[in-house]
Amino acid sequence: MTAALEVRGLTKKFGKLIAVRDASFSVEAGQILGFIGPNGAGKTTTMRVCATLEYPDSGEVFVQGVSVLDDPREVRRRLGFMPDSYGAYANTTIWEYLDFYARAYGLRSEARTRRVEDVMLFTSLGDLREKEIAKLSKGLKQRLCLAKTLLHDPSVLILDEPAAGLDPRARVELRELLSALAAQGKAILISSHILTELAEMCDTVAVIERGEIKATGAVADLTKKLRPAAVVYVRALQGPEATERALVELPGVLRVRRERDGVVFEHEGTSEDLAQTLAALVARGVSPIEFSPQVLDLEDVFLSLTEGKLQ
Amino acid sequence: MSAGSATASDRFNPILVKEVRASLRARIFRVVFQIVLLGTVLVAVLALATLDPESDHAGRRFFEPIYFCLCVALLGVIPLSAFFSMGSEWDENTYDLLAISNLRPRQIVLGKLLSSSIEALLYFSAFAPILVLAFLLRGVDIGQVLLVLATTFGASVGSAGAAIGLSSLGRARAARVLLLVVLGGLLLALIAGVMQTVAIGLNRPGVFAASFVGDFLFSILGLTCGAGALGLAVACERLAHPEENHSSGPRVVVTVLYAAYLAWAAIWMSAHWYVDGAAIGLTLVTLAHVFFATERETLTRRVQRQVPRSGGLALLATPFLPGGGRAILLFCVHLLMAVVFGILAEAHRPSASTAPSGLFERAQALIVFAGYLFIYVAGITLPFSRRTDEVRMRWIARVAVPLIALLSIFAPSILDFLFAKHRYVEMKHPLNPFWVLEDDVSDITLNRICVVLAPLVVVVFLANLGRLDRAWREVQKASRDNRERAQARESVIVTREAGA
Repeated sequence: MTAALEVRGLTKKFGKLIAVRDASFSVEAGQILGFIGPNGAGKTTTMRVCATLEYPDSGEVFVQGVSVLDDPREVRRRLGFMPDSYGAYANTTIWEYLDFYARAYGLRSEARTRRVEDVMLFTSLGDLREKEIAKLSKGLKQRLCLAKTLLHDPSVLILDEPAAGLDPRARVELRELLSALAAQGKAILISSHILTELAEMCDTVAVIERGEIKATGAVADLTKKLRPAAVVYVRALQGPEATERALVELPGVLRVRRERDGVVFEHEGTSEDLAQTLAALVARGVSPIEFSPQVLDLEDVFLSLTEGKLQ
Repeated sequence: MSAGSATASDRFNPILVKEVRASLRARIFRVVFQIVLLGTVLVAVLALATLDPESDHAGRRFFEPIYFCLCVALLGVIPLSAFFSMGSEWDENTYDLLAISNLRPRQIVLGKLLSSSIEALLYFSAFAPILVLAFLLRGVDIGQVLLVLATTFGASVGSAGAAIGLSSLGRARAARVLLLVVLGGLLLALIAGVMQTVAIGLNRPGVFAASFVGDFLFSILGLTCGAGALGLAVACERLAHPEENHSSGPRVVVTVLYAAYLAWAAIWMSAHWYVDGAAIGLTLVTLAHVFFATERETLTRRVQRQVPRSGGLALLATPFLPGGGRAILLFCVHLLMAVVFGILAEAHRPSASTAPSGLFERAQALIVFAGYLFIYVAGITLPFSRRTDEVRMRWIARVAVPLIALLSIFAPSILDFLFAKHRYVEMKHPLNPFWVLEDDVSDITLNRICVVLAPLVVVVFLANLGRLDRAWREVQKASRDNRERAQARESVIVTREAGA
């Protein structure tokens, strides 16, 4: 089956600077892929190439099998792009703005009016139709741009930092909107600096640094890949020394080190094996008052994969 | 909005609809419109107060200041508003959203031009009652008024097109401020030229239809419309993606303009041997050539894929494809057109009794003029051609051509003035291409210049041969690659069908 968005060996240079180097990943229909990386990593460039605003120096990008190089107009019909910074026309109301873009996307007569009403309803902008864009808050402007992006009902959405500058309530609303869109079968590529936000809404992530894709996949898979062994913190009544002595003799325990007034150890195996390790520890006279496996989150994944170097 | 009007508005250009809606709500538009109208009414009242109503020329005296106000509105406000409208797409950061819509660059640019035209019509409708008053006061012929107004409207639309093109050249704010200064200067010169011509025409009604004023108005219309067409073509290409073909559209427009100016020269020469307008037109076209000849020599991936698969078609398309080398090929085509124009002029030489004296020397002069321009563009851009991948080098080359051309025009006169020989003080020297167009250049002088210039053109052409060869080979390779790609695609389809 053809991926909704497929980036294949993409390289983009600006003069001597290689902004994106041999990047490859794909997004399936109904999937939300979080695109994470430090500032200047090449996220926006990759997204702009996908949106046909930049052309690759080598490699290809396909949107539902259509190449951005061969048929950029067809790609634009299938794709909605929300840039990180965008302007709004002065002296224009929300309705006029959406009506203009609906015309620009070739929607005619009643279909246009209906579609504008639909997206206003979906993004909860219906009551503000006559409000001038210049007077809108940042959150409302983001919502308006999302509404504009949805006008031609694209199958693939590329959203560059859509949550930037939004207050917590607006973020929650945005997350709900995106989940609803994914449920409609749209493929979404989204970049954000707010990793907790991304972790909650994304099925998979792609990590990019200095133009190179460091890893792609589901967050759980990535954490497993990064840390195949579980890391567990144990604090016992008998103190760290006795705990450490007991642990080193147990099967599946890889590395043990002292931390604060307890012990941290790495464990290889399933959750059942870990439960047995706990039982064995108790059997050896150690009374744990804290036994907590440490869970890796998206932030850990990001920090482990990237070096924080700028290009 | 009713269903009927909604359906009717579907036919309008979306940019036009958006711009008109925004203009109606924009404070700046209302303020400027009111200021212009208020100023015009004040001028009209002052003019009426100082007029002698019994005079036969009262209408003429009233018309001139009102027409000046109209000129300021149509040839000043309208092009400037078009300039700002185009620039605002970058200033307000709205361009990206526009670029990824279904709108083609052509639609965007035409929408801007149409909204400027509507604005111009709005000014016309406001000025119409006052201009009618001038006619009622006597002394102004209705035909003259209509000719002047039609020319002014055409010039307004043309200069708006040129302003859009100029605005699209600089995306950075600083660059656009510079371009605004250039545009302001050109518009001032245009307003002054039009005003002076109309004043002469009104005060000497006999000459209006005869030659000079009519010619001059036609020249203004021809040049502004030419500049407008070029500006629109440039804007269309600038709005396209950086990797897209930015050059073929303007190259086609320039070729059409070149042919039009040569035809214009042919028609006007036989009537009044007036070639200056056509020469200015050719200079305008040459300015476009400066940009073409300093383009990156190699084709982008996207353009490579657009090269015709047929070898013959690729050959024909070569001068129209982007790249400095291919621009020199295009200039050669244009030079050839000028030579053909000269041969045709010679072949259709009327009998000696009917031909104005010196007519065919004028044709020769125009070809020599084209030869000069070729040497300046092809010769000066050649050393830069290896490094046009760098934006900085491209701009150095673009500045170098007019700078060296101006130096070669002015330096002999300045040196001559300093050494007090006073031979070239009036800039009548062989390094000045415009000199050969003047009436007082003798046949012998023109022939002498030809003898030196023709080998020089050949030398410059030969010096560019390597560049031309590379340009041609690249197109052929792209054509071959596209052919092979198409064949591979076809064979995949055949295999798939066979498998099915």
